[in-house]
Amino acid sequence: MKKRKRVGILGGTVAIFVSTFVFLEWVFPYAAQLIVGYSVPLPMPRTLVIWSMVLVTITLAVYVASNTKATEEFFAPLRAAVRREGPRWQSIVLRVAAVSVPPIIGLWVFFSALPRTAPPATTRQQHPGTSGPSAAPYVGLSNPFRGLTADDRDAALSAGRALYFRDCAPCHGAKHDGEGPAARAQSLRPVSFRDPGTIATLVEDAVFWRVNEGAAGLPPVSTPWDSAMPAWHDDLTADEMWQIILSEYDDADVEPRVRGMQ
Amino acid sequence: MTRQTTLFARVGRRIALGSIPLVALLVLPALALAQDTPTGEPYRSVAGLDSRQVVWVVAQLHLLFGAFVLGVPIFAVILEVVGTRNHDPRYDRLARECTRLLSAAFATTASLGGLLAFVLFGLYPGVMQHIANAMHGTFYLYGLVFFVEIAAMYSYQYSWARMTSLEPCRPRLAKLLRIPSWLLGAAFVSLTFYLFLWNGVVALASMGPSIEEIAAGAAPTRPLPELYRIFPWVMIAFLLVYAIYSWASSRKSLHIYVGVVLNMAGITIMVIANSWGTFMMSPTGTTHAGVYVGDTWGAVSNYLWRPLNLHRLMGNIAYGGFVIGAYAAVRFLTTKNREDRAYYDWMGYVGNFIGISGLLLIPFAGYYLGRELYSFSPVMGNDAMGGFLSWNFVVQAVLIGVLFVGANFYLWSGMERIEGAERYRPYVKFILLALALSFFVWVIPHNLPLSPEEAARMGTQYHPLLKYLGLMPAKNAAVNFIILSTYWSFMLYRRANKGEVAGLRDAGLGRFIVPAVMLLTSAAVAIWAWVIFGLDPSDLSLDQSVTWIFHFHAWLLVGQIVVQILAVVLAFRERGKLGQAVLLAYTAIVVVVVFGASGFYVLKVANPFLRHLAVSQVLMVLTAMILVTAIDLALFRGARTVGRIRWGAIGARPQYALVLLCVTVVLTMGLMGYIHSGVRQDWHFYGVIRDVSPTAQNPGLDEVGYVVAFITIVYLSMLSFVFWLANLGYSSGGAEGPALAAVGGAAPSGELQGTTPESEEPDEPDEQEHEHQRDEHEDDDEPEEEPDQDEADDEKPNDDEKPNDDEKPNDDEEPAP
Repeated sequence: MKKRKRVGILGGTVAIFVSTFVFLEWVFPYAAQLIVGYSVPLPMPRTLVIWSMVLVTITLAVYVASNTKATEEFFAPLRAAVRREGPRWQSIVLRVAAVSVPPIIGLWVFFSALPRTAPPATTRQQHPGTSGPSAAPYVGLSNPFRGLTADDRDAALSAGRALYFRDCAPCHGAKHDGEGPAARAQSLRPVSFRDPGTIATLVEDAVFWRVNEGAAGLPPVSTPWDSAMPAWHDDLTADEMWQIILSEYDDADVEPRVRGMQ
Repeated sequence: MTRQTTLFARVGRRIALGSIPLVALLVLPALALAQDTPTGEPYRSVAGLDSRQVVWVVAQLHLLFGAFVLGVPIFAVILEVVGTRNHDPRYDRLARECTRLLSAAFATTASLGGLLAFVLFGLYPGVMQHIANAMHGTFYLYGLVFFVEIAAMYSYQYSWARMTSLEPCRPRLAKLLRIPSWLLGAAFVSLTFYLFLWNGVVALASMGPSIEEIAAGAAPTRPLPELYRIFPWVMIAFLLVYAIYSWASSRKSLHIYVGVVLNMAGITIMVIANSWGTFMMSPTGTTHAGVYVGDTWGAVSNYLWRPLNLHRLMGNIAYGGFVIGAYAAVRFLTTKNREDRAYYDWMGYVGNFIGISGLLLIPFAGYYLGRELYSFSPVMGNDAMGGFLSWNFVVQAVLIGVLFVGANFYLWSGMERIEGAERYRPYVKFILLALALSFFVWVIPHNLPLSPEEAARMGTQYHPLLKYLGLMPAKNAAVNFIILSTYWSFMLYRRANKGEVAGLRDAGLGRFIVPAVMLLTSAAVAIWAWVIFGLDPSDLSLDQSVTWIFHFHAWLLVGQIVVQILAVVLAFRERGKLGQAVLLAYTAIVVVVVFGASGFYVLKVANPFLRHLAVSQVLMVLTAMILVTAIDLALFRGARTVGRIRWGAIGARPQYALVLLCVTVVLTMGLMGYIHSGVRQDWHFYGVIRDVSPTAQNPGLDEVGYVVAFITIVYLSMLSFVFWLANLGYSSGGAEGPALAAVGGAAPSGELQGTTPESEEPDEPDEQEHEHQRDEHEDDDEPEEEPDQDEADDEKPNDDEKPNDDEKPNDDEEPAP
């Protein structure tokens, strides 16, 4: 009976490491495109690829190091290659690996130091705090059109919808999905209100602040220079803005976060 | 008479010495306020330093020491009880060693507390004046309870060797008072939990008059006034009855009673100090003009007080466990004595066990705190989780991941010293995979930075798929999977050297306890399912059309009740392990897969219901773990052992893992300490009194990292020094092993650990009498010789208690605290 050839722990860890990298770099973008139904492949962000590979390395190291037998088995081929006790190809692979490490590091340093023309990545803050001078006056405000009778609420919703389609839909889209006709012209795309991570996570006073003050009222951490959101306080009354907010939540099928216990 | 005088003199002197920092602490408010009043200057600085950073560093150091001093006595007393009940002297030795470290750290804690008070009153007199206006009554209570703490702690430590006898003093009286003391204890603990740890914003929502109404003269009302009125009487009754019962039972019981009083004082100190911090985060009774119009209890009983009490209590236990684990690891690595290595290996295991036990529960308490934070102020909640502190939470996620992976690594490595554990090694890779995948999801932020090229290629600012992993449903699923995986890992460790088990029918008392536990766990799930079934969507400002979502989740809860019953039935039919697997599998699938996926749908169409969903996840995981543990304890109690546990036969790597866990838990606490305070941003009292000092800004993430790392290094250096001091009198000439062995019995030997035959009774009255006679000749007027005197007390050889390598190991007594 032919003995089944084992990959060994060293071979297994290398295989897992490499296949994870291949998956993240070349399989994930297409899988993500398929899942989301997007028009282009969606590559995994570089920072996350690096993080994932660090995680895989730690995971493999924990597995190998948590058992003496596994540790010995992991290092056995390396030890054999160094002592030239194993097959000849092992020794050759080890030498090639040893020789190639310095050039790889050198090339990595070279390319890292190469001047690049790309602007630096920014960690824009999506939910700026309302503690700043621009936002503080809005804390605690509530939408006067909530809690009305059904008829009055419908009237407010209609008024809000009309205003939304006039002033907001060009960027935020008729479907509230951030895909208005003007959206693609902007470097910071308008948010989709249907995204559960946007207005659904905010109380209405924070939304009112954003509409009223626009990009100009954003704190620096939220890179106001990236956003094209106008400050609407010169063009709309407070009631009109509250009506728009009411209709935004209603039409985007999301609920505002509410104060107090639920 | 002489003996008693010696004891009282020594304890009294320790109390007097320990009180010096306390007295300084007590006089500080008056001094500092007196200095401030003439000028009215709200801020000062010292030596050109950033006042915020000065307070930050001192407060965090004080808090780290305080957490150790408050966390360690909790499990020290539990260990003492376990050791007394199991007649296992190792627990007693461990509890005593923990207490020795505790008392050494206590003076440093108090000194840092004094320094913190100086710094606060000196640099922020206006802030402290407002706190004093609102709650100065708590200052005096704090000081008085401190006295109780000091008295209890030194009594607990120095009376240890004298109070080991299990001989009943008044057997009939003890028998008479046993049940009343248990009932009063249960009532006291339940009331404490309900009134001071639970019942947060829910109760406060019905607090009655608004601030404006109180300012206009209305009397503030309190929720549950009857219970708060009853509470002190229940506490006093419990203390009295339990004291008499302990005295009547045995000297050991009386010693445990002192430990209980120590913990009561410690927890009281913690909750009082918490009230000051949480009053700044969620102030009650302060008008927007910055005037305090409430009363002291109103300020104490603020929105975040109770959740923080619970969170800190569990955090302190886990943190204390990991610190003790690291201490044991260092001792293990630095000792050559075979018996000591075995003992410190076991001690490291217990420290890690305590750490994991706390760690498994902390995420639930953290969720409760976060939930109440959002309830108090959604804006503050968003600032923390989705706003400017979101990257701090990413770092926190990494640290918590390290804690879980490190704790698991220690368990897996530890399996090497257990014969028979190799059967479970193949499972490790699956648990590790689950941890890695969960960890991957756990750390992804919602606003994952894209490079400009990536953003241009995708045409969006955020990754269209991965951004969902930054939302709460994904995080909840991931953290619950991490908890379940770690729990499973621990279960494998527990049964590593156990053979086949029989059914619950043969489990003695277990056959009654397990169904009783099942009734409790299924009742908890049933009540919650009933709440969800009865939920009206309009209460959550939702349309009636989402009712089916409520029912869908409620039915899955009902399903878990059925599976709980099934697990117990299987356990009775000799399929206990299958029952456990079915229950854990159902819980994992529903909590992680089903609720993880449905959470996104809920987020979209019924966002306010998401909180209920998260509670369902917490409840299912907790109840499953409780019931599976109960079944496990009953099933494996009489199981055949297939191998021994060779304490001490472990490599160095797991010890370094214990050190890593300690460093990581300190880093985590440092970071979370910053988040607690930093979330107020430029408010002294959030939303009512603004910080207008020149240094009123939040640092960047890099500066946070530097300061937290600095605090960690300083703290661990100080702690190492304190531990070194604590061991000064015990480390000469390698006498430590026998000396400590005599404290409570035999030091474990390398091959036979986990084995303490009941014949090794450590509490022989005759031996104690010998020790007492030696004490009579001690010279108590030489303070510098006291450690040696203690050493002398402990060094009394006790031949009966020496380990017997020839004895057959009794692995059934493998410690599973």
